Amino acid sequence: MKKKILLSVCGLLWLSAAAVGAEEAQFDVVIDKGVEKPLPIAVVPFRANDPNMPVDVAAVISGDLERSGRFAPMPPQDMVSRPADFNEIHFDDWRRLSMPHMVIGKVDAAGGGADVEFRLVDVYTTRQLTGYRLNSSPARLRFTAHQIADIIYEQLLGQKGAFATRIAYVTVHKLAADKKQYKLEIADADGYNPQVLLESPQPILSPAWSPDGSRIAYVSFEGHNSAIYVQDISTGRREAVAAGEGINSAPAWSPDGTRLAMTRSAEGNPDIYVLTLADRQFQRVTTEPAIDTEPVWSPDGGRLAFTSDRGGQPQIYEKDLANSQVRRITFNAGGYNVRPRYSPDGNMMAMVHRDDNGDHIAVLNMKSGQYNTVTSGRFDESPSFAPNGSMIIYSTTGTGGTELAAVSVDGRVRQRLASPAGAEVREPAWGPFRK
Amino acid sequence: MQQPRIDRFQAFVWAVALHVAALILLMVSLHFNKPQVITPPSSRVMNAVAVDQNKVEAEINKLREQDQKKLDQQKALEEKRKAEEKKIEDLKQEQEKLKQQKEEEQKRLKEVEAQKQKQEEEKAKIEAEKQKALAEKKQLEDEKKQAEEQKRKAEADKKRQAEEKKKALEAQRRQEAEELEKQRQQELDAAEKAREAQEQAKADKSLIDQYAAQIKDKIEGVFINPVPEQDLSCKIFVRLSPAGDVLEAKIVESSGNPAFDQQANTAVFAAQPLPVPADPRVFDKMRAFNFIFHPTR
Repeated sequence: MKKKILLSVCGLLWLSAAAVGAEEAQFDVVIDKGVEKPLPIAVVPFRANDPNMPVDVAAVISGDLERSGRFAPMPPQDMVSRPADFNEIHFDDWRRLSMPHMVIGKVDAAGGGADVEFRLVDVYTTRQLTGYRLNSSPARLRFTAHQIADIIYEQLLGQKGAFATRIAYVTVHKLAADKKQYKLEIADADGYNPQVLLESPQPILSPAWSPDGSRIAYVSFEGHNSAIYVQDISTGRREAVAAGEGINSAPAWSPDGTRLAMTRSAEGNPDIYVLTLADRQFQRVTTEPAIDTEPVWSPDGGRLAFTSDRGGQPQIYEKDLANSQVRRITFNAGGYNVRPRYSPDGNMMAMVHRDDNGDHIAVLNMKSGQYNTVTSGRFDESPSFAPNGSMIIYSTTGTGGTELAAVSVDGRVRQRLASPAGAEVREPAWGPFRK
Repeated sequence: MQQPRIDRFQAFVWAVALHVAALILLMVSLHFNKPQVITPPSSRVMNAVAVDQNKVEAEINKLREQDQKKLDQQKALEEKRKAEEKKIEDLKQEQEKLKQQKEEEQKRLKEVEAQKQKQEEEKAKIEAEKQKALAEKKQLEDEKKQAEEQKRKAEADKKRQAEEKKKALEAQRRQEAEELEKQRQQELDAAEKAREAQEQAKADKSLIDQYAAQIKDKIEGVFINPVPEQDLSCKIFVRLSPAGDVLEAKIVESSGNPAFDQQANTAVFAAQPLPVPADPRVFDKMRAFNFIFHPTR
């Protein structure tokens, strides 16, 4: 990705103007609270020199920002003007609309390419906060729009955006009463640009992204027995890394990408094993007579969290790999907790919490012990953190079937994601940041 | 190598010279120590004879008698010449006598003159002394007079000064009293003014506090903390127009998080116009202040 910072003459003028007039502050006013609401932003439709561009870049940016729950993009029909250049902005108009931030831009199509130029502008200070020109093409415009959304997100929220990332999931098409088709797919984080990696009449489960985003591990029942495959996304080449009698399920990549943790019952009881990919050696990690499954690595690679019914009902445990100590993490008496996922910074853990109302996504603050249920569906499953830790993608089953949704970590914002028609979508896994 | 030899030679020469000098000195001093014959200067003692007129006469008479004896002895021989000589002698005598008389007379005159001069000198001296005494007396009198005059003057001055001092003191006292009164009045006025100012300030402060609270509410109604999970704070200096518009907003202390600073700054502008008092005097006291954005979790 090539970027060019645009000169901001207006910003410089503003700074020099602010330097004039030194005066003493007469008192202090302390602002100790604010409002919890999305940031208003106007993403003005980009001016394209070719009306046949396949993507409305501004609409994609607005959609990303809105879906994050952190922004309230202005509907384009409410905009009084559509500036594309800095000097076309009538700031007073936007101030009257109480619109503090706006994004303007252009798409310059030429020779099969399409460069996208944008500026994020502070309406009150008339300052350009950031601005880039990105090389793109009609085919990559959506991705470019996601990149712009990431830049805006990071500029205004101080945190990396995760819009230009991908998700993996499994779709189930009901072909006949007793015939289903399973597909392993990847798509942009907003559900667009789906790409099928594998089709199978047998169930496909538990896709997991390798840390570098180049491979996906998953479980396939194609041989009428569960086996774990690792498939290269770009070449499609795949390899069964754990097969054989009994269960081979729930693969999880170590943070360095050299090992897979998984559930196996090769020795009779479902336990957690670690497979070293280089030499294909398995190492048994749990030996309890209970069912131990759904392992996941802590971001520092030092611990494995997993689900176990060793306490009578399924709860989440964590094993310290350095000293082999196991500690129980969840204790909800009225229900159970399964399918743990660490947040990227390791401070939180998402899981599926079952209570009398069904299965919901819950988030546990690992430091404070605070436990929040962040969804309220009846069948919410398979939580997976966005790589910036801001959102959790999960599957939810309602009257319309099973589809994907995303929820902010604090549960404030929930969004349904675009789903292919006529199919159930499950087992989402949010991919890493793209290099 | 050679230098010391020369030094030694020189030393030797010096030693010899020193010895020779010492020997000569010894001889000279030996010569000096020899007793010396002092030849007294040939003395010519003058037998001073006081010339006394009587004594002269006596001597003359004596000589005359001796001459008589000689004459007697030579009487025979010189009878005739004797008469002549006698006559010459007589004449001579007479002449001598006359001369003597004349000399005496002159001497007497001289004496008288001297006496007279002496008397005159005496008289002049007396007169001078008298004059001097008179002058002294006069001087004394003058001095006395002067002293008296001075005394009188001094007394007058003293009296005058005392009076002036008294007057000045009175004036001063009067002035002091006036000033004291003035001061007291001023203090009273100042106290009154201070009390009024204090009341005014108190009223203003309470008014400003009310507006500050309204401003705070308005800002808190629009401030969106982009990173509520972090404990951040920033300080923004603002200058307002009398209409409550933000003329200047300057981040004087950053939170270290540009997104937080940005939203704090945005809130300041988004809340425009900020509630400000219409009274320009009160507004003057709140035209510039700091916002401290420090949301508590």
